[in-house]
Amino acid sequence: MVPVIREVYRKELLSQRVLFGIAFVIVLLVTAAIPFFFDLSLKRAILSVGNETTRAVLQNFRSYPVYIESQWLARNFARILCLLAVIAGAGAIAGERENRTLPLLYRSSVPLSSIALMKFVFIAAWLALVAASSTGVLAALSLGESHPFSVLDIVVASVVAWANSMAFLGVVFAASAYSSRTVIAAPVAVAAGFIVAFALAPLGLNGTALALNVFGVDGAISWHLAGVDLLVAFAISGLGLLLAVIEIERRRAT
Amino acid sequence: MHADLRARYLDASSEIAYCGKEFRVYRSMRIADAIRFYAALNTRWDSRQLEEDLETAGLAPEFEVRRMKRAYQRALVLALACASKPTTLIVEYGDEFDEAPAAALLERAVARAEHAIVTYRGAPGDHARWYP
Repeated sequence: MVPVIREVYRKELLSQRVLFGIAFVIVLLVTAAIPFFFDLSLKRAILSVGNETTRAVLQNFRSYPVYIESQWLARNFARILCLLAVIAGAGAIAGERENRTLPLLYRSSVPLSSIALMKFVFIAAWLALVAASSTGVLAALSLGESHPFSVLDIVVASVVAWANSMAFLGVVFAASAYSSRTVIAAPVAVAAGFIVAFALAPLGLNGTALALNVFGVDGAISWHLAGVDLLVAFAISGLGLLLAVIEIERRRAT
Repeated sequence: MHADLRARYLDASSEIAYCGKEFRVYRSMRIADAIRFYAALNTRWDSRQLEEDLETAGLAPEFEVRRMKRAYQRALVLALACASKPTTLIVEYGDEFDEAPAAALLERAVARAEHAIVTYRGAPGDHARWYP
């Protein structure tokens, strides 16, 4: 099985190297720019608008960097990872159909569902690499300040953000398995992600899979929310992957 | 009953290679990459036969799939499909096989297969030719 995994990953690297490389560099650049631009924009917003709510929220934080980092880790970072998951996963199966490369895979000794699973793991690992690198850059840039979070806080927030992107990856894999076109699978997955997020809102999980927020207003991590978010995100991811595998096997048999 | 039929179908499908007109190999690969990839995915694989087939079609391992003419791309798909040693070969004929190297490969593949069917689509009076 090891040579198969190696060759599938090699092929994925060859096919997606441009997308993966560009996305990786963009995320790192955005991460590096975050403290600077957020600081500027927040100061300007407070000076010009003087919004009481904003002022009240910011007063609860120990410094601007706390707010900036919590927002980056908790919301924007998770959204970017979710978007990358959709972009990278949309073509996983639909792209093979579109490019007419699927028939040769149907004849192989390895079930197509196993190949799909390997692709899923590959994209998940790439997203984890992006998450780890980005978090590392942010942590390194914050070392000069009085660092608001512990390493454990940052790791937990990154893992939860990554888990949310896994939920989107599961959904986009299912959409990709049911669709024949990448351009259909991607928006379907985004729409399904929104629906899941809205459906979970009444359960108090309004952050899950869309706008994760594992931090309270005092900048401290909420372990309860982080745990539930992780659980829900992996459940959605697993369900999406299961639906994809069922559809792949059904199409193979028919 | 249904499960039994399905299992029999899956068994039989490994004996049949269908080479459709639109089938493609990954554009991001070189021929050498494609050989490594499909060889890893198939337990039945005849490397020597594949080498000979590629030579017949004038295909070298360093060729990039994206830069190859349609005729060469079809020849590559046919060579890879035959490398997994099917007992029955079904090829959908196209203009690409009018070119000499691809035609030579098709002739060789059909002669070698236990059973071969070459189908013609879009020609007046669509039909298939069965070999032998």
